[in-house]
Amino acid sequence: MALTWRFLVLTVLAAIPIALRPVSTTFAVMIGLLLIAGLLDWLAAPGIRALGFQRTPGPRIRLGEETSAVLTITNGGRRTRRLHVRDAWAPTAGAHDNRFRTRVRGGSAHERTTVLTPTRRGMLRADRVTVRSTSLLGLVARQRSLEVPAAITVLPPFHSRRHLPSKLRRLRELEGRTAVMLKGAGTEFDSLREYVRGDDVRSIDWRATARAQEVMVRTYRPERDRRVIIVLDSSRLSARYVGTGTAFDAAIESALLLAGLAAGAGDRVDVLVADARVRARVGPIGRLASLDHLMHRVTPLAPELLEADWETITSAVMGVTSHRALVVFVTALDPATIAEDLLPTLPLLTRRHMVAIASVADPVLNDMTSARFTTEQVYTAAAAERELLESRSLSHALSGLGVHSVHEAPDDLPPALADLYIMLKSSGRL
Amino acid sequence: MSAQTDVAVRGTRSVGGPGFAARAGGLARSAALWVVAAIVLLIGGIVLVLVEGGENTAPVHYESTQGDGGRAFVEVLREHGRDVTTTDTYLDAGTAIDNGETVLVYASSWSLTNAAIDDLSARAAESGAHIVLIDPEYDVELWTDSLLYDDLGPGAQAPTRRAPACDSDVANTAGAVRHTDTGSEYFSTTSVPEDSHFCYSGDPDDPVPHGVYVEVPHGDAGGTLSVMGSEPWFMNESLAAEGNMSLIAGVLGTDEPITYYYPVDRDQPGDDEGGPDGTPSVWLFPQWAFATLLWSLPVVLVALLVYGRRMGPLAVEPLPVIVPAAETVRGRSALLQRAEARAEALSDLRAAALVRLGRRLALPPDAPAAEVAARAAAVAGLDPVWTEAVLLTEHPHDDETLIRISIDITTIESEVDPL
Repeated sequence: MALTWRFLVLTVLAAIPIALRPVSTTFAVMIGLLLIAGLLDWLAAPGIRALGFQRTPGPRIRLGEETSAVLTITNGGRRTRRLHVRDAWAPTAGAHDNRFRTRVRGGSAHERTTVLTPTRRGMLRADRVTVRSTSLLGLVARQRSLEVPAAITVLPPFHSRRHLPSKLRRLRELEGRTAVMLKGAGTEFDSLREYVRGDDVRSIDWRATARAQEVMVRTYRPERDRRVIIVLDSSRLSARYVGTGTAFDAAIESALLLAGLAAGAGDRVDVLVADARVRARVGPIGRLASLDHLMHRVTPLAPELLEADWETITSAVMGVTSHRALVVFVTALDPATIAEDLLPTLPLLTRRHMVAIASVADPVLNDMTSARFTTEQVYTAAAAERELLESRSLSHALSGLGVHSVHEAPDDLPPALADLYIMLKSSGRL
Repeated sequence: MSAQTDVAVRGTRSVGGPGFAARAGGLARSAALWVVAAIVLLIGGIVLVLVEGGENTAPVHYESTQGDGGRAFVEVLREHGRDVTTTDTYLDAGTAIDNGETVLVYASSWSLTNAAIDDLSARAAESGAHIVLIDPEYDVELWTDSLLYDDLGPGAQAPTRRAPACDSDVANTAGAVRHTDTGSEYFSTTSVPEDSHFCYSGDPDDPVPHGVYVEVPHGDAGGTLSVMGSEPWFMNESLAAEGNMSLIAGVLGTDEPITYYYPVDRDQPGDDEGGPDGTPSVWLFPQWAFATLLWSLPVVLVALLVYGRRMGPLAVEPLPVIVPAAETVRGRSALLQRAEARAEALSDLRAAALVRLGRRLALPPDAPAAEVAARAAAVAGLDPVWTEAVLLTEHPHDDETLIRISIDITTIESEVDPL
């Protein structure tokens, strides 16, 4: 039961007879009349049981876009229902203007579209539908809340996709030295082309040059069908809030760009999401799974307050392929954790695979080091410098082990990782 | 998929549990019974109150039709053509007294304040009004100096049915009356004054004049003060008994207009505080204002119920874990500051600066710190001794030195690479 503003107005109006005849009897009569009016109106309000509810979620979207969900209310009874409805969603689903009044005639239905502007990635579930039914007078309403399950899928924003065309173009430029790769299956004739300024003179094929009376160069194409394994760390380290999202969000962005790039270059990409256990495995992208599938799989995943079990992760990586592969760990470069847990397992991997570690740097640290005008600021700057020094020394230690490392701010990490991949690809070290 | 198709395929959801018909057979039916019973009770109560008309049921009140009410004698007087005005307003009573009218005052139960009695008594003495008091008890001494009240208690041996035993025409016309509170009577403080009557005394042989109905002169303007010492004479249930009505009609005179003043607390002059005319200032507010103020309580209650009722429960959402990234750095900073570890803090700042300078100056990573400092001084054209002191040797004795050195470090860095 819920009282409405009309009941309040009625109560206020009752002050008039009380002011005109200010005796206790008038008080009693007015209170009694209000109670009776309330009770009768409550009895007169149509029930809610004859109403049927269904939610139809809109299309899945990337974070930052708008979607909608349709709430359908059917009136199975004969009486007209005057309703006040709250179409509640999880707060991060961003359901604005989700309260409305409507009148549903007996046997008919009403559809209401709620616009959703989600503020985080994941499967965002709808909360209850709360409905108030009033009579014609509308003094007192019947109120019920019921579960009408629905969820919208909010994919990662994939902001780094803007880098994908340029990176792919660079890859094609690498391959462009063999024009055949752009035209189709290669033949011997197509593996040679005329020399253009800038070509490496060491690649001139003198025999072909003599035959063709023009300077011809031999072209090489980068290796294809390499394996790339991207490991996303979903442990507590990735729960750190860096910039405008968590380190895990930045890791997803990086993984999506690298996966798209590597799949475009003809490599087989597998993605593992793991912390103390393997939470998801997608791949190989480009053959069995698409980038979209990868996006869909990582959407509901969020970091948990668990320590990463690097031994489990290592054995999972080893289980993906027995061939040489580029293994990219996307994690947070926490010196203590990396030194104690990850470093001991790396030799096993580096023996068989090319290993790279991409980590999310915190841009706040650089800001902390700049201000030094109070005692507190100086100590903060010192602590931040210490953190940066440790990260840097860890990077050196990793490169000493033959591990490539990329340590960048969230927005810069995806292109930096893509550049590392292109560099490895072009130098034939994959 | 459109919403219509979705509803067609998946159907809709409704409030769970048994339907209305099923519930009506069970709990709801009994609940409805209670609701109906409550409504009937409420309606009955309201009808009862309305039938009673909202009358004031105070003893001997001119509106009350109860057994102890006083409406009957007022009506009887009016039926006999008397001009009876009823009022509970002090101002009206005062005006009637000033006009020299006959004023019947319900003076029992300390219904008038001392200041009000003094005021009315003085005004009556001046105007020559005929004041009739209904059982004033001890207050009678405030009204006049001629009378005293004595209450001997219920044990007093005096008859309840009493003859007039006086020379008052009015009393003798009325005949015998009953006085149940046998011990309470009004005595004269002096010898029997002229034109005074002490009737219905419990002991006519007593030399001190006393009685239940007493009439004494009041003031020099020819006014009189009558005391009717028994409330039941005026009550509806006993008005017809004995000579009660006759006595009342006689005492109140034959042709003058009568004002029956039933005092209430709100507008009498107080003893301590009050407005210019002695009225307590709080009662200067009209009664409707108080009533409206009181009604604001239910209004507030309803407003709380209206706006406090939530439209469904709060939407709950399990959110992913988020750890503030720089928290550990801030923690370490606080620890350093609390421990006043200036040397350690400065060492970190210097190390970071030297690493950056070494890279900018294209020195090998294993270059000694002194060499980096010397090269930096040389490149930037700074004093080598000062540069070495800032980057290597100077010890921070206090916070000011620490801040100065750290600013100097940034200065050197900016000099080496102004970009």
